[in-house]
Amino acid sequence: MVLINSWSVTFCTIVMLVFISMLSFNQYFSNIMNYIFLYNNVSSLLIFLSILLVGLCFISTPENKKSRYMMCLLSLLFILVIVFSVNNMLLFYIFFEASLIPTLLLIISWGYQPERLQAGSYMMLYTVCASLPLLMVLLYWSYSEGSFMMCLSTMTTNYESMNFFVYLAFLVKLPMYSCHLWLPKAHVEASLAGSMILAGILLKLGGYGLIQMNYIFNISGNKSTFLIFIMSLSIWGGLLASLMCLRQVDMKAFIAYSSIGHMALVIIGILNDQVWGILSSIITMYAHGLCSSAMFCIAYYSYLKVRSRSLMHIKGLLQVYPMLSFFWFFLCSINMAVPPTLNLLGEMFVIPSLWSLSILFIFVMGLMIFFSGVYNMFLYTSINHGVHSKYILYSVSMNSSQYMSLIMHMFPMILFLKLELFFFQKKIIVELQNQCFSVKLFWNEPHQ
Amino acid sequence: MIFFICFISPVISLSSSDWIISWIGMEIGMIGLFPLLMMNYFSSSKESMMKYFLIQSLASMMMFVSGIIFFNNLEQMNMINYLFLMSLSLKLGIFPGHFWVPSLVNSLSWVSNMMLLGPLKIAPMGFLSMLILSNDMLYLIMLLGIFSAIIGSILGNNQTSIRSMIGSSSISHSGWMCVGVCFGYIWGYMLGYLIILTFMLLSLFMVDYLSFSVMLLSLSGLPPFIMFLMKMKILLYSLFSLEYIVFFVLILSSVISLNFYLKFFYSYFLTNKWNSKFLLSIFCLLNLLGIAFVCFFESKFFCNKLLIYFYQFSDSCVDSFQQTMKMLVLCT
Repeated sequence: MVLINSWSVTFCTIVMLVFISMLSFNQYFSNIMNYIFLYNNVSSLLIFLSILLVGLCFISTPENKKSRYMMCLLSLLFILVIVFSVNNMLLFYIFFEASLIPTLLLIISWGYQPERLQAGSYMMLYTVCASLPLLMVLLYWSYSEGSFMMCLSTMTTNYESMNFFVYLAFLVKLPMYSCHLWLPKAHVEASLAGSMILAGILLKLGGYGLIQMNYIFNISGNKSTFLIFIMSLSIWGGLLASLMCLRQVDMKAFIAYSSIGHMALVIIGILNDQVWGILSSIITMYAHGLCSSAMFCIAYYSYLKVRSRSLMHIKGLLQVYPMLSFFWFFLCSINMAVPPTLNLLGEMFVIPSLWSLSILFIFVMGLMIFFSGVYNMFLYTSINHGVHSKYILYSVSMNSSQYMSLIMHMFPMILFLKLELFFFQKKIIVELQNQCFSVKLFWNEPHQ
Repeated sequence: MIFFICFISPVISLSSSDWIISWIGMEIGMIGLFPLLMMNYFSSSKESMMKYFLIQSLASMMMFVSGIIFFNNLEQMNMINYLFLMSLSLKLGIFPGHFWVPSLVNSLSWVSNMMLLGPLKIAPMGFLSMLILSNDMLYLIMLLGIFSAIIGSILGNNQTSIRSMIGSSSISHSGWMCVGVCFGYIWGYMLGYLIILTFMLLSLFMVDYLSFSVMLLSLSGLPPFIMFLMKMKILLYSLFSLEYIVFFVLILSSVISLNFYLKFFYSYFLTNKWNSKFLLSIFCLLNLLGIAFVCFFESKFFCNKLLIYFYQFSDSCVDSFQQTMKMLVLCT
């Protein structure tokens, strides 16, 4: 507690942790599996992302140095690191749910309007209601399988309803269109750090959970009607979310709907369980985590200049704050996936796996990519061009911590030069699984 | 002295081998509560004391009449079982007889609430676990438990005062305990609920709203807290008995009740009265030990089928208390 009271000590520790977590990218060095921890390349990427984003939250809100605030962020970081690396399914479930509580505290303690309480309740009720049936499936599964360890999974679920419950928790968390109502509300009411963490990591928790459940329960091997239904719902929902973006007036709700659109790609890439699909969804999760968090940052910085988030009131930033509008241009182009960025790779790689399903998916996907370009251009032009609004206050230019935060958001995108990090190394996992399975047979033998 | 009487009553009734002595122990607890009800400063406490007296004495009479027939004739008479169950439901405040709980709790002080909702429920729960002699009674008690879990959570959403919210949440938790009576782990759940309730009311008494809000979240059964573990155990046991409907209804009730717990959590968390006492914040942290409990002590969760057998074995150990008591009572 004494150390946490000091902002600089906490911040330096997190910077060190970022570099330490980079070490684990080298998979031949750090593939861990024991009773409690199971660690693969997706988890190492997401742990890196979560530590980085918590550090960036500290940079972006230098005015808030209360110990309660730091305690919230650090406990969230602790929970996230555990949930990304744990092997026991019960602990996975517990920490998956536990990540809600610091998020709730971030929303209700540092939000602005009184509606934040309602937004917090929405978030809690949606996610808890969807994930309690998952608890039932996990308990039932462990009862019939005799263990909570993820790497011992050999069972295939035969019941469609069970698949539904397994996926539902993560589909609400991601969120899929039609379970998404809590997300724009929570983003609109949360403070900057809450939004950054929520868009940056907590949505990726859903994607990580889908990947894990896919290979624990061996669901996606059979292309059942249910899976096709979920996939088509998610891709049409992504298109609808992109269209919904065009009629938002609140910047934060705008970015939230755009992230719902991007998460549709993650869902469809994971559920259609092929190498290209999973690769694309991992790339999209990583790139979108950084990009959407940076967009929330810059939306907050523009809010500081105008004191409004409405697109009606925030026009013509280019005349007044050229650096801010430069960053807007950069981030909007990253978000619409222009060529050298990771987002482009994510959107490109999902196409072959969609092609194997049906040509109709490609059609919808093309429309979605088109509209993602449209809404990003619309966002950029409506904020930066035109006669500047009379509501813009006299203010100084951006300060160094704000530059630092935005540049550090974009810098890790350089990982597109090292794409092998994003391949889901199923081969290693299958080998581990086989080893475990032989151990398990050894254990079970006296009782059969 | 009065506190002593309230605490000694469950001891008397659970440790005696004669059912009349257990009944008397329960009555001693009820009579020990009256001075506590009289001592507080609410004007409505006289009225609520009369209400409590009438309802509880009605329940005791019913229990006495049905108990004489129930314990002396070993042949089963359904009507008598139902009468006994009805009196227990009045005593405990579960589904058919739950109407007195929120209004009574609303007009009492924290200490008497602590007595009323805590130790005085132990003896009737013991009687309830004795009633499961046939499958019919098991399903009936399970049904009552499910209904009171749902009704408590719906009632809680209508409340605006913190006291009546605690009352309705206690109806809901008693429902969970009834399911625990049917499938096991009643006493563990009871212990967890008593600890959380006691420290919750203590932190309200000492105006420590931070601890209170953490206790509220714990009571709602959200994962990192210790009540989640208790609830999960009950769900696990009901799953072992392959009762999926129970599982769904209990999940539904905990989601509905999460709404009002969150509502009260907001209003207490966002106040500035945060003069957290050292002792209470220690207990606040102890509350978070649910995870540590899973990690270190429930190591059977980590391992193999072999340990599941041990698990079921230890399950029977946990309930051996209950079974011993049942046997003792039946022998007399």
